[in-house]
Amino acid sequence: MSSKKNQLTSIRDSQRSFLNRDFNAFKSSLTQYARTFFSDKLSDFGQNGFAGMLIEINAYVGDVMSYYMDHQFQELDLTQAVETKNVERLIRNSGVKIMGASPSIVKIDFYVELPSILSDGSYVPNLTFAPIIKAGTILSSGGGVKFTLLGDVHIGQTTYAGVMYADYVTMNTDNDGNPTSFSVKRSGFCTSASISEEQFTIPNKFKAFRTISLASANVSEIISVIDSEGNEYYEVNSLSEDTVFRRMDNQKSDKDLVSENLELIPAPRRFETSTSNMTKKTTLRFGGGSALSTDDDIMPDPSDLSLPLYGKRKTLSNFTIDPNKLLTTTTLGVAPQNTTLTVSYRHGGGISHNVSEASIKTVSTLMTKFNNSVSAADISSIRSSLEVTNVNPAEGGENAPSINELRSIAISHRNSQMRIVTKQDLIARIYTMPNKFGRVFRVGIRANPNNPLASMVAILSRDSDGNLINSPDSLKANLRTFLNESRLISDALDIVDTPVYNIGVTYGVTVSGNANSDSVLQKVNEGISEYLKIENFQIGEQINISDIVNLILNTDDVVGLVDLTFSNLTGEIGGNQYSDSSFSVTVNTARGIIKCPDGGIFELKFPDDDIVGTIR
Amino acid sequence: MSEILDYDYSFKSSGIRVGDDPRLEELISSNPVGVILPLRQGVERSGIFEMSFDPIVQIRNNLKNLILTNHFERLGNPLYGANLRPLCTEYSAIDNFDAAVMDRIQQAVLKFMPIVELDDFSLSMVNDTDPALLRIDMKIKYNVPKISSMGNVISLSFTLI
Repeated sequence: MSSKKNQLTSIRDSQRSFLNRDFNAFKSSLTQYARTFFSDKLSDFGQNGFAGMLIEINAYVGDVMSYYMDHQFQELDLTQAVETKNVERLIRNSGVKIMGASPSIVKIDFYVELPSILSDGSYVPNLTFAPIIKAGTILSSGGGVKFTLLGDVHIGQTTYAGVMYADYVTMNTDNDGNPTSFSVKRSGFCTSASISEEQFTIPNKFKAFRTISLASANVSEIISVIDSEGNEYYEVNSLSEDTVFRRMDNQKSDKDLVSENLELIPAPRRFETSTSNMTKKTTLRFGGGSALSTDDDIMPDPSDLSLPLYGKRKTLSNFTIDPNKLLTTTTLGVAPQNTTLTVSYRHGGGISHNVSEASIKTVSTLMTKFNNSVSAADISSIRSSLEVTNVNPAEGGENAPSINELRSIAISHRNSQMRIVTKQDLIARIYTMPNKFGRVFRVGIRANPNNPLASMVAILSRDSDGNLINSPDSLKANLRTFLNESRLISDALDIVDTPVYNIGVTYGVTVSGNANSDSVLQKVNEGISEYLKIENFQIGEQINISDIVNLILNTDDVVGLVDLTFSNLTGEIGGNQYSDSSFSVTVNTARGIIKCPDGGIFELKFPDDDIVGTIR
Repeated sequence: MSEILDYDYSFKSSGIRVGDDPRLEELISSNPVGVILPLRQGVERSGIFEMSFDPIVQIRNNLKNLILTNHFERLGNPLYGANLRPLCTEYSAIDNFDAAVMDRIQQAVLKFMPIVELDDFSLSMVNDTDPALLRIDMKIKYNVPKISSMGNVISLSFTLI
């Protein structure tokens, strides 16, 4: 009896399921159902009878519903979704920002003619006349693509020691052959994106999460959003982010290496952007709070989260808590009200903007700033002397990604995250810090032997001549600010300098009888120098002696390798200044490998002096 | 209310046999087979709609249904039916109209009602009152060997345009 009941229950349950069924499956189930429950009322359930027709109609309805249910499930999966709106939504959900066409970037050389001045017995460009070519200067390529200068180009900028950054050559001389003017060259980056400004009048009516849409398509960057009271609105990835990074000019002595500092500031006025894949137009979405609650917005009150205890409860059960509530407010930023927003942004781009080298020659709009002491005539003369060119082709211009390209990006982006968990995350985060805040040349991560929760981050930089130097303090400070945003709270990162171990190589070879000894040694030296050049080394990377043996023996006319020794060079030797870090080559050599001491890096600093070869 | 029956009983009998009274036969008749088309209000035992209690009647109904149904009329079963309607507009264009109609009916019966064995087919033209229309009367003879029902006939008619 109970088995019959179970059977009927099973039939009923299967009838209710609309998943994974087609017309025939529904028809079969409905027929079975009808035969089980209505056999005393009707017996002809075949497709030719009236009952069969009703079953087929119901199966059809079920099939259609099942199709749409399957479709809905399919639309939840990024790999299978077909409706553009759903694909867009899923792409956004994966954290990928939909962008329009991207502009190209090109390095432009600016040449201006400056009068000369006698300084310390030699003629140099008179920097009093040197202009600042302002960001926003517009140049044109032969094909008509406009390029806008991204940052100010200080023609007369000098290092902390007073040395000019710019290159210069003599242009005109007087009768005695002394330079009267120089052609001074400095470079700056330009983008093919155009800058537009739009104003939006916001009525005196509070509206949470107010949105405004920009008129131009393919917006690549929102430069600024400022209201009529002068308040600045900051762009954030998500409205739940309440702080942003701000760039500040570095005024310290290491400004040559680190031009800007990074600062974290609260951003109660903020917005997020989204771009429609259909129209390529960008919409700004502001926060949901009123300006009256700005104070609360900056400083949320943690006591608001205190656990409510009503009645006579004396015990507490386990409860869950959202830690974000302690850090953020419910308003998600301030919504503008009764003001006028001025939005400045860059837009435009495409693959056609990747113009060839030496095609940007025309200055369409020139914006300059001169020292107050420079006369109008001189200003006019210097401005008219300006010439520009691009040595390299413009790069980076791309058409807007298609929906399928975005889909692929989103799938791969799912694996990434905005926090540092693995060693690779940390290395990637350090290398991607904008180089205005200092450039890290090499990073090495190792465990801190004294603290199991800490990692030691050894960093190294290079000076303008390409020599290895300890990273400047400003860079470390910027790195600390930059990493702290994505660091897990329980992790500790110790940013330390990387000891540089200078090495020397001495070898003796026998060469074939008719070979030119000097030529052979030169070839071997070049080979070793190429192998040991700093670009090929990472922090902690070892030297494989067999590789160098192999390299020497494979050099033309080398018959045999008699001896090969490595040494550690420190202090000053023959006028060359080496690192003070030392290590024992003998102790650190085992099984044909020279191991680098923890957190250090090998450097062949002066290849001409540090590689000594002898013909035996 | 039960009816009092007036019978003579012998001592050799313990009652009456089913066949002795037609009213008793009705009481033990079989369940309904199917719904009769066109739908109409049921009488007596039929319930809401008129039902057939005889498989032969139901098969006739179903066969008529099959022949009069055209393709794409059935939801979810688009190729159900003999699909005779397209022939209505091609009467003069088809050399052997009778054979074409017969072929379609035969194909449909073979596919959807293999229980039916077609026996004879006749077709006659009838000039209707409207001179532009031509009515065709069909008479189909068929057997249902499985239930030993032989010599069944259905008559159908449709109009040529």
